[in-house]
Amino acid sequence: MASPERRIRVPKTVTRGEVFEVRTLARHVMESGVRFSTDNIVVIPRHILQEVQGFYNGRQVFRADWFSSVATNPYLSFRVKAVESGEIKVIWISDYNVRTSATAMIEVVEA
Amino acid sequence: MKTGTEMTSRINRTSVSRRALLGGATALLGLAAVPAWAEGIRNRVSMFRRTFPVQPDVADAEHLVGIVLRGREPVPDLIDLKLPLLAENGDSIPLSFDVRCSFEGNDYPKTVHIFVLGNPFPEVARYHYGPWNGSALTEMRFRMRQTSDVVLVAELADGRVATARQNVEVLLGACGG
Repeated sequence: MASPERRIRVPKTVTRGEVFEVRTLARHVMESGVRFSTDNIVVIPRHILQEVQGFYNGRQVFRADWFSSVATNPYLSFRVKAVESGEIKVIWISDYNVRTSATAMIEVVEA
Repeated sequence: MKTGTEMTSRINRTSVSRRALLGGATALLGLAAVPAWAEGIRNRVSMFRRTFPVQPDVADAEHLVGIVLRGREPVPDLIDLKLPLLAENGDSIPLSFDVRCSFEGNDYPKTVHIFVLGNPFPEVARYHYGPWNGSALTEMRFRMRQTSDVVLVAELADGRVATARQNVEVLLGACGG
């Protein structure tokens, strides 16, 4: 379920054993559940991306738990060590259990 | 309409404590009263579909950090924290950290917790790593409501903990966060 709202960027080629960066950007309101509605009576309910998972060839290599204070349109970058060519997949899970993902291919070359 | 405006004026978000509002909410739901010791924990747990307000409480946030540390003595100088000293806008503050570990054997951070003590929900994020990461260098952006300390706690796989702490001055705080 790839969408233009979720972006991922990895280097095209890396040498085996090298640690590379996975940069992700999601477009989301990240409503914190702290702001008041316009009538000032109730709090706008929280609606954020509460979990981010990173997969490398189907194997989970990273997990993030997010809470109210993460900024709108959250940017996240993490590092993974290159083992073999394949697919990097990142899944975002929202408060209402909606899963969105983005994938990128990476090629591992020998040093 | 009249009653609506009256309610607005009566329910002032600063004068009514969250304790009172929470009590009202639980009474409405017909639940048993929450004991005082549980109330703090309950308020600090990020709940969605929640309609009562939560105000920042630095002492409560320090208590949360203590829960993660569990009385362990932190190892000094293990976390590289890159954070601005001054933020004009609390809506999006860049944060970058690295944990100086070799990622061989047991020498890697299992979990890194990020706390902002001056936010209504002090816990910002938790990041989980494994030996396959090779580096814990992570970047993100977060919100801050007011000038306060940012605390990072890294729990290493061998049971040690490391902390980093920096004060960030916020000129215009985020209304969320």
